[in-house]
Amino acid sequence: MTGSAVLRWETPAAGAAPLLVLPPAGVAVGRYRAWADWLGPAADVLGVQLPGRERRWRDPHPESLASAAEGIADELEALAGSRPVTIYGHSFGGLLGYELACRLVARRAEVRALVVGGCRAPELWPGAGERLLADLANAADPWLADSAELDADMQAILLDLLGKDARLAATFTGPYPQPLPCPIVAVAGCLDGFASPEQMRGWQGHTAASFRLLLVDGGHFFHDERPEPLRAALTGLLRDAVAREEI
Amino acid sequence: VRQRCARLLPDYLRPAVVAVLAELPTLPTGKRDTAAVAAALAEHIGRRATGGRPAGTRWERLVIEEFQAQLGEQVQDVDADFFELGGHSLLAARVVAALRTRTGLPVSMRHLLEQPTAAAVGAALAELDASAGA
Repeated sequence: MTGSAVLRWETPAAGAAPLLVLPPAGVAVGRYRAWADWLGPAADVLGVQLPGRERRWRDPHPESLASAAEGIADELEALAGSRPVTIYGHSFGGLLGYELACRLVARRAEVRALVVGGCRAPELWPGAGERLLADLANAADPWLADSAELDADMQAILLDLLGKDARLAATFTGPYPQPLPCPIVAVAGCLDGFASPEQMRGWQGHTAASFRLLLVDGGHFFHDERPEPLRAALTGLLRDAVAREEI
Repeated sequence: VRQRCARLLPDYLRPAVVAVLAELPTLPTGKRDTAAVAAALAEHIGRRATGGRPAGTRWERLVIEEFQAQLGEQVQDVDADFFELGGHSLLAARVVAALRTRTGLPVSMRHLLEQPTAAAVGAALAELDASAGA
């Protein structure tokens, strides 16, 4: 069984702007299918599914972050066509989102905005080495941490997946000298132990357009626990995108 | 689609049947071929009414019950893919945990990920039960 890297769960409303969602390390994208309803008709929600998850359980992991991003870019072109895409990546998904944005720009595709949540600036990822896996495991999904469902077997599956994603992050060859032409919005949880607001400020140097740092209540998983401020930010960006298409 | 319709439409306007087609058939003029769409829908309804394989074993029934509990809707076909029905990995973890509690058998998330259907997970439960009894 081989699954797609980019999933669309709902038929988008006419004129909806594509929003590509990249989940954190060790997390499958299925839980974000509700975002299509949650973000309303301005959003054409597309989810990135890396191997080792849900329907891609048996697919081999990509060899590098770059090859993962290329695969996503290929499928994205088929689904979103030439419409400019807004990218939301959380934690490890933010790093992959940055790699993807750089590749889309190199392909002359338009990126409307890169939104990163709970994700250190790209220059803080290389060299994290062995510590990265421990940091990611410490920041792991609170739903799993206090869940009765998390038995030894589930824990082993999750750790294995985290390890594979951490190794993928370690193949990151950026940051790239050329800043992105699109705006970057960095969303930081005030209590986030993995990516503090200070560790996110560095994103400012990677855009030639505007930069905004948005501080929200909560820890690393603020997008699951208290998603309202993130929703407001995303729907605002998408409504702007739709309005610009209509002009 | 159903959830969105349920929110936006009064119930008499909600579609009773939702089918996914790879592409909308078109006439040579480029307009939608409504007759071909109607035929595809009729085929879908026929397949669902007759072809959807209902649970046969008690193990399959158990799995179907837990799929339904997590998905919040009826599941008719033991060969339907849990993730295509709207399931995701958190719901899958709950299905597996509930099945372990109800059967006392060491069924694993791996069983469901390998083949996410009630038929396959039911067969895994039957096998675990047989080897537990042996």
